[in-house]
Amino acid sequence: MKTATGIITLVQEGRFRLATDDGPPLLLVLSKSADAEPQDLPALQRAQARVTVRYEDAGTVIAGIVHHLAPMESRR
Amino acid sequence: MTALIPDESALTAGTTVRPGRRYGFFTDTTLCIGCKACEVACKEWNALPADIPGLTGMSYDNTVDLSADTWRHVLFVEKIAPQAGGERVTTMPPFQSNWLMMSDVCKHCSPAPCLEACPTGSLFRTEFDTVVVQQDICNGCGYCVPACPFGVVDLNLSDGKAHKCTLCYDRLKGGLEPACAKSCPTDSIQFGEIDDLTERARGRVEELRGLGRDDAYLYGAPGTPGATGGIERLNAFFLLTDRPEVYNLPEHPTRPAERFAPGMAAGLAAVAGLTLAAALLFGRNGGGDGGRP
Repeated sequence: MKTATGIITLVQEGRFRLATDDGPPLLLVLSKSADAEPQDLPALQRAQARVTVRYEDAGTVIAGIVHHLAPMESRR
Repeated sequence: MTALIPDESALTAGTTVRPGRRYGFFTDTTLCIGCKACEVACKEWNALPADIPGLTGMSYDNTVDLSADTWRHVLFVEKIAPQAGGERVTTMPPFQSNWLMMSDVCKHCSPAPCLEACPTGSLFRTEFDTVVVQQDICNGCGYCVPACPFGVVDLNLSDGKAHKCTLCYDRLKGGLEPACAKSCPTDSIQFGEIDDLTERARGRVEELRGLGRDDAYLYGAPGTPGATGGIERLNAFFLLTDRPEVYNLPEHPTRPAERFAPGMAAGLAAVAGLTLAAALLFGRNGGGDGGRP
């Protein structure tokens, strides 16, 4: 399982683009077992909150399947 | 979302988007050049993941089909089979007669079989007369998948929900033209109010017939092939120049709900018949046994 941290820049349904801190942006899809729902994503995007995700590569498409998503503690 | 330019669709598509009106696509396949700009625009706007690159061997069609992650699909039909006389086709009449291309999409049927099959109300008809899946309500039962006569709706196994074209519902709410229609360089995909599009499409058919293309016809407009079997019209309709099956479209699509009443009647008739037969058979035997000591 991979981990990435960044800011959600785009949300469509359960899909979102994550501008990561240390690499290219990722297109991610919430899995059915994720601890977040599609309706949670727009608020995170509007707040420009930094989030951390744990994901795995999808087999058939170029995207990551997110199993865990949580806002990061704000940096001081 | 809020558009930077109010009523931008008036500038790009010649129509303003207002709730309560009916909107859709008219796809003129004779204008499609197979550039796939619509596929790319759709994927970009809707944040749909790209398929793993690969060659299918199906002409220039490596998208293959509509799916949960592909809401626009440019179909390539190369008509290179030998003619009836056994000779290989060596000439190319005008208007892509030997090479057909069509950008396929959800038809946003009216009435919509997928919507009728949805038990949770996740699929609903919007204020623009389009059909959209609400992701927070979809429970992934998949009833909508076989209900669609065009094979459009698909389940994403990653998130367990049904997905299909929304006709860019978020863009419509912001007064924007759908991404695919806006990106189409030849206006093969035209967005607008259904009545306007239908009138425009009928004029285009007459124009093509005047140019000698007697095989041009509309598929999905009211009273045309595709608007059959209880489906009154397709809000995304097409101008075709060959049989619907050539474009991977059913010749006579039907609503499953149309088959419910005959199926139920046949089932009830069978039960009634079996009950009557059992009553006659066992009633007679039972009556004889009852008299024995």
